[in-house]
Amino acid sequence: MVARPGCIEELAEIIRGSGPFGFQQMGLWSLPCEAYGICAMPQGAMGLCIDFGELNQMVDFSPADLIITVGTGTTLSKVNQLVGSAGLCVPYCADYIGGDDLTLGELIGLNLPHPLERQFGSWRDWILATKQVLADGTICKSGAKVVKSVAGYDIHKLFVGARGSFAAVAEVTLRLYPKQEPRPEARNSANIIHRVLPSDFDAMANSYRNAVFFDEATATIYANVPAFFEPLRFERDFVIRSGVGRMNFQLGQVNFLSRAKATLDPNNKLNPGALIP
Amino acid sequence: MSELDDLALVLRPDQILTGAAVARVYDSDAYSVDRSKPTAVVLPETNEEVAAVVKVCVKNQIPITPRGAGTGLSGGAMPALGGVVVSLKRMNKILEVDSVNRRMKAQAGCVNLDLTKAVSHLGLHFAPDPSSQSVSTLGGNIAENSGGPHTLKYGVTAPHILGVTFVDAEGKIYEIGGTAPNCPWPDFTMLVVGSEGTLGIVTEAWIKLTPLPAAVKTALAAFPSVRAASEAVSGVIGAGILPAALEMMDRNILVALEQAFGLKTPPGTEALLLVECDGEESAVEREMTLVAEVCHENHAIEFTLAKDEAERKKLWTARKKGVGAMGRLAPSIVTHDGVIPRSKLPEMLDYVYAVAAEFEIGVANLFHAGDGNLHPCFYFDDRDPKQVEAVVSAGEKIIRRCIELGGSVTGEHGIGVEKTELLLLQFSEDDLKLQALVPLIFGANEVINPCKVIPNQKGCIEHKKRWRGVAW
Repeated sequence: MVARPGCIEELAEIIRGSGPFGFQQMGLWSLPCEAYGICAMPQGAMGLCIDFGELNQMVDFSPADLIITVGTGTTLSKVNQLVGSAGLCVPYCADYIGGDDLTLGELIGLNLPHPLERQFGSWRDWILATKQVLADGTICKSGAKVVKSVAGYDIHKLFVGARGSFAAVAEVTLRLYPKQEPRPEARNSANIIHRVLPSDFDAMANSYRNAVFFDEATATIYANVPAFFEPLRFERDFVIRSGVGRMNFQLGQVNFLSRAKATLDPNNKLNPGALIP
Repeated sequence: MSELDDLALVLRPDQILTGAAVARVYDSDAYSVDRSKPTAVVLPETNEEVAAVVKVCVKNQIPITPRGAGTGLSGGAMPALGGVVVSLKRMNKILEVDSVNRRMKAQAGCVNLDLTKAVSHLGLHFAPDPSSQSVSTLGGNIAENSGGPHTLKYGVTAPHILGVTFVDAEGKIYEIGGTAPNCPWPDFTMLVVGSEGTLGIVTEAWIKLTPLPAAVKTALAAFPSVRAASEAVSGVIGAGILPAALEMMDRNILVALEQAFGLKTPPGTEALLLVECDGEESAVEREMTLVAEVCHENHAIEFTLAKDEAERKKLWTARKKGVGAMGRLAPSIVTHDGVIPRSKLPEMLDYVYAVAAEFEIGVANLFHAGDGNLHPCFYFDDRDPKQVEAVVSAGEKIIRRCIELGGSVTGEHGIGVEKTELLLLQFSEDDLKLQALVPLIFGANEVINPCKVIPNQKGCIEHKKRWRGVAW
């Protein structure tokens, strides 16, 4: 079953478990991310998939302050269309992971590398504030809608890459940058992304035959590889694979991930198994 | 006392400081409005010694307050409930320079500027540059997520910390982060940075090294009013230029700077903008030309480029020592810190002057205009309790206005003990419920830096009155 909340209160109602659909477990995010393991409903589990597509309102856009606040169900292409009229953009390049029709929620939940990273950084650098529903249905916010704030712990940054496992993020405030010229490269999708320390870049590059894009600036390769391909691994590197569900990367900091999950979602309601096996 | 006896089992005598003079020196950081004396100050030299001290303190339920150079401006390193101050000053070694991967591992007690000095011959630097950088430590910068003039372009401390060695509140040592940059999974380094020493003690960090720019140009623009200067700031950002720094100084600061450093301004100057552009030579040239145009459009009286490196350094010395120079205006200074959306700067500055007039205290402003990060500096005499109260009340009024305008209670100084209650202006009860979960993730307890960040902590409220004014 799929639920499609129209506002954060409805989302909270669903997560509180008192909505029209009773359930114990749920998967968050929408289907295009299945390939990367986001909608990781365990097979045979009873649950409800929440579609964030209706949470796509623009809450606030201040071109002079280079900031936008928007629902996480908004696609990257729509956000860039909105802010593009003021000569601004969210400088995330989704060319190699299936294009910019993914929603902000999916992209932030995945936090995949991208080719503009050296120049502009990525989601952890851009995310200034969030509004979310916690596992017990509490609606709350973190951060501030300004480019600089050290008020409280930056827990909104912990939601980056969390695959919807810690909270259901419904609204996000992002820092914007001057609009970029479209990149001339073809929009080929990659099914593996491998990042190493720069000292290992040449050795890694030599180990790939079907690279879609070599990004020397961030020591990253985006490539298409057969299912049986085993990448050559390096110290402190990371590899992310598409199409292999939740086992697509080796986790760092499992200790803290488990403690964060147990603290933020003690009953394992939010995207169970998506982040921690 | 028995707890000190236990500390003597894990540290040498020269690593444990006690006595009236020590208690006086360590009873506050640079936020001197609130003070509380420690029982002892310890100076561990290794990760293991830090861990051993934490274990002793947990066993005896002695509060622990981590401390770097004590330059913090919100009381984060003030031993709120007494106990032991853990000074990281002796952990000041650079452990590894990896120039190929542009990273360096250093101990928490390293002075910020020494990190840059150690790698400048390689064409690299540590980008976060708080004004205290000649004394403040890496550990302190991490705890406070320190900003500085160049954060407009380079970001605050957080994006420059790749990983940390961390002693948790039970004395266990962890390595957090440290993989290739921007790992796709949740990065707990981001929670440790800015946690004000309330989650545990950072003892070492892998830091990111940034190439020194090929070219740098620095200019001073003098304006006939603060409003004109504020509008120039919005104009520069609106034109799509991201200067490395965009700093504003008002009339009262300029008086102090002229006395201290001989910084001259043309007649009629009410506000000065210090603008720095860096990067490739041609881009810097183009950006600076645009900045000059925007300044002239906004009625700049004068726009002058620093002629050479010596002149450029002199300008920055004046800016970074600006608060110190205010010592010429009054015996005491409190620098407040609030953030507003950049577009609200003119309105907010008018308000700051009105509040200072209402409370009859002097105010000067030197701040990171490009970030919308205000620093109203009140100058007063802290031997007069009435003036102290006026400064605190005026500060709170200004912070309230920041929130009304959609900003934040702090941009870079932190919550510490100064702003725990003010955090309630920005966060609802439910928002704070989420905040209070963070220490649980790290297994933090009531021993580790109590009474900071989270408001209304058990055992803190009754102590608050005791902190105020015990110094004199």
